[in-house]
Amino acid sequence: MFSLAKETLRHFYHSIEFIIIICYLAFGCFVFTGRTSGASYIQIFGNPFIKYHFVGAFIYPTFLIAHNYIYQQINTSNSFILRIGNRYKLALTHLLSMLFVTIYMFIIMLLLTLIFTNLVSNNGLFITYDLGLNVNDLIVLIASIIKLFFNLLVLGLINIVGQNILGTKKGIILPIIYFLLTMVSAFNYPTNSTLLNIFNPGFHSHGILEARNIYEAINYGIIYFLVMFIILIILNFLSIKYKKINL
Amino acid sequence: MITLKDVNLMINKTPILNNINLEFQEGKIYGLIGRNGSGKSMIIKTICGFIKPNYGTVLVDNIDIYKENSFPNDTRAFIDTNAFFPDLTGMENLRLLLKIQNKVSEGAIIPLCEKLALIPYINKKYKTYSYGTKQKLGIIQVLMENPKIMIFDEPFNGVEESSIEKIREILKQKKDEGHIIIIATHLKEDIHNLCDVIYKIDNGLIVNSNTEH
Repeated sequence: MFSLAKETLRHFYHSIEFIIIICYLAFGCFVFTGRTSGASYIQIFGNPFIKYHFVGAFIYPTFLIAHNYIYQQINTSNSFILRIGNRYKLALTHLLSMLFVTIYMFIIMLLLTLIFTNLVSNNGLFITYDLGLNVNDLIVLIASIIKLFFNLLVLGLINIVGQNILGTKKGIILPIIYFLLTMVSAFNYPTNSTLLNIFNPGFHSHGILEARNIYEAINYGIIYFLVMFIILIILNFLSIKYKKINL
Repeated sequence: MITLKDVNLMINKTPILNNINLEFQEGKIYGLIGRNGSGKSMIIKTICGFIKPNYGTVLVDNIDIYKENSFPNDTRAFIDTNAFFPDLTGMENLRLLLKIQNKVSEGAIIPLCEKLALIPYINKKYKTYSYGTKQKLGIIQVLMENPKIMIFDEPFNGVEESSIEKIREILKQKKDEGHIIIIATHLKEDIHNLCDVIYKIDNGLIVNSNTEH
């Protein structure tokens, strides 16, 4: 399982699709770090991760393509699947490969942002606290990055569940719906209901939006991601039982 | 032994397999013959544990593979040619497959490559292979771990006559060793004088079965 997931990733980053999406991501990082050129280092670096437009236009689509590519690669390999042994191990292989590709691409994205931050920064390594939020900016930045990473894992899990249930052609619809829901619901925070606030996917996608304080954002995030991961992993193992492989 | 009992399969409300009852025993070569779209590949995918039938059971060595959520034990199949990583060489692809279960060493690959005249290509990238060479690599990945059950879907397409003869020899030898071999094809000439039992399939039904020997 581990070697297959690793090899699938190795194959992915040798592919033309990978080069294209990394170029696209690099372009996005350049544009969004460049927009705050002249501000503090941390503000330039943090800008892409808290910006709705960057997340919606660059991060989600590229990660969705990567998740989809990896899933298809494993799913079409009959000879690999037969050797895996059973459907639960296959589900685990999908999870592992999705985790690997998300970590790998996320690191690349952070590095690209770091490179462009250094390119556009006029202030050098200088930290100020002026992101316009009533909290310690460094914590906001770290929380935003972690939230974004977890949200990408949720997107990857939804992609796997969608492909398992609806098949490889229609399965992409589910993560796209989640992506759109995330973008739309980002405007609807806060509401009068704590439950709705916690389970508003848009609130967890980027930045801390209108959270009253950073701790609220972190606490809500922990509950949301924990619940989502548990539900989606269970759904993944349930849906793999009925999945039509390589139909 | 593989047993299919009352297997019915529908995809998008279209019946694909209708009441399939088949038995595959050790030490025999079975042929599934029928025109394109007759349901041969679906029978193979059902045996491999890929597509769960709507009704009926698939038993491999008395294990209901769909109840156990498992793929049949000690089974290898060649279903299509896109099962490999195009940017890896043929050897790297085979090595990767061997690593999953670690049953045999790399030494098992070379004699098979020699027999099927694949040595000049084995260290070249898979994406540079011709269709026939891809077919041969697919056949080798089935044979290399000497599994009990070997399944081939249209294995001889695009393969030159001399290699086909070699593959036939290998399969006959495997049969004598007690393996179960299933070959699906749309050309009767492909399996002439090779199979012990031939099932003719049409519209998802077994329309005829005969014993060649």
